[in-house]
Amino acid sequence: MGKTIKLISGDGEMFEVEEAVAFQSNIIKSLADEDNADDCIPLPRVDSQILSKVLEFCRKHANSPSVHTKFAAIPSELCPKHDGSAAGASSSESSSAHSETCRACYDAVMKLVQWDLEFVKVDLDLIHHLLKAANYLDIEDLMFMAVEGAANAIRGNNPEEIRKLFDLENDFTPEEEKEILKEYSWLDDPFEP
Amino acid sequence: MVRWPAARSESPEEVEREESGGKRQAEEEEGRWGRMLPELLGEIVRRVDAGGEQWPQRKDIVAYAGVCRRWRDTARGIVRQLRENGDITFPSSLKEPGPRDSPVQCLIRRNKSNSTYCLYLGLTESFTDKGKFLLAARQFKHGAHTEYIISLDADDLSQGSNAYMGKLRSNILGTKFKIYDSQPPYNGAKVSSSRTSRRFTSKQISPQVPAGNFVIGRVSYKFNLLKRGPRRMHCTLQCPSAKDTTGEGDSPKSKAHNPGTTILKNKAPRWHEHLQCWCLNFHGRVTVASVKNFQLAATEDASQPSGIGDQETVLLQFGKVGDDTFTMDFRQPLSAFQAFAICLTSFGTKFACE
Repeated sequence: MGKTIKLISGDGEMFEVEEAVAFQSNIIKSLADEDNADDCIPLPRVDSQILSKVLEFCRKHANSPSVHTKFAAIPSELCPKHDGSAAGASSSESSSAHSETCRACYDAVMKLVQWDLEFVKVDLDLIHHLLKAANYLDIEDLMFMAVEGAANAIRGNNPEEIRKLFDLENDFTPEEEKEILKEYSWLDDPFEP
Repeated sequence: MVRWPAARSESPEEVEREESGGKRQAEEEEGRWGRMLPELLGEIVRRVDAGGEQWPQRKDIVAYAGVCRRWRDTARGIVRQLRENGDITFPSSLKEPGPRDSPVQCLIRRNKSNSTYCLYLGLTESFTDKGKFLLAARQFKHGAHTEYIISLDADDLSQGSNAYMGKLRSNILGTKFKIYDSQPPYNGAKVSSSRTSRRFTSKQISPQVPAGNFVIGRVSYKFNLLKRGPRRMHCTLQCPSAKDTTGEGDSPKSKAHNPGTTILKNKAPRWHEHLQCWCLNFHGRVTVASVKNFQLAATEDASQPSGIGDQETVLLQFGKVGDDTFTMDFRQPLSAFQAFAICLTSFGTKFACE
């Protein structure tokens, strides 16, 4: 193992991980950058079960090329890093060399994205904890995927279904309900005039 | 020395709960999504929006806004941003100005048998694809006057309905029209009551049950009776003025703006000596010659900081593409509702010679 970082979860469990893994979190990175190399970094707001899931994600991302998972719902066809276009390609030789790199990069990214999508195919309870942890620890890619996990549970469902999934109460007044019903019936197409 | 990661804008209750060893108790687990940080809810709705820029996926935002108060409030923040793109998401979007840079492309389908017109948002390039339903209108005769009732519900075209949006009324000759809006002209501040802004916001998303009819525009036609040629149109509209579209804040105060006046005139077609007809370049969006076809440009434009229109940019274009199918393309400062009402006047003029 290279240089490691020690983390302590809210319920007192110690996790020792490689720097590259822990530094996926900008918060941990900025704390560790200071002088106290031997200290443990306490994370009171993350318990061990969640922290271990977070670290699983970070481990996967630490050993992969940097992924810009800033896609809407599906990754675009083009490699996020290289835009599909060869930067400064002047001769055909350099452009073909570049496109090899590009292809490899593309494949690695696609694989990682697939892994990420599977990672967030979990119950909303866990998504909720991952979202909070990613926000608290400032882990960009995890934040992105947890948001995607939540958004995916919303897509294609009506408000009642969404309430059930997210365990939310309908706290609208009867007047507001009427408005919402009007919005919702506007979604349906009328018969052809 | 041990350092604690910096607090990231969590409520005191949440901080306390998390720091008590992070133990999850049954009470904590209930309603956790209901207590989710607003910024995180915002991220989620933004992602739903990003994945659903087109209809029918846009339904997802409307569903999101119907879940609970907190989520509706979050959606409202997104709606405000969307307003700047001219996206049509909620019924209230129909009374917001269209986009600045390029027009929204719509279709109007006429049903002669029941004098009904339906407005659809075009989802593809094709004139025969259905599109997303936006508004319906029906022609009614009131003595010598003709009225068109405009509604969100094609099956309910009455003024007393919850779906009533406004109407168009013509004079006896069919040369002058008034456009009525069920809501006062673009004054979010007046819609609110003494209730808190949180409750106010859910009303922002959908138009209210009508309190009356407010004149928001006038359209008049002048005809070339001596020589058969294109008619001249003149429209005056109340539109939100330039500073209104810079979403500067959610406070009712920032919405207490004055509507500006926009004056539109139709662009004069050129006489094509060779083809022996009047021609306007509709850029493929109009394919059947008809005296109903028009393009409107502004001499006064409320959406411009100077208030002056360039008289060149086509802000509303309307024309025939089939027996009962017409295209309608509009952009700011016009809203879909205003654009539709103006196009209806084209059907209402009695001296149409085709």
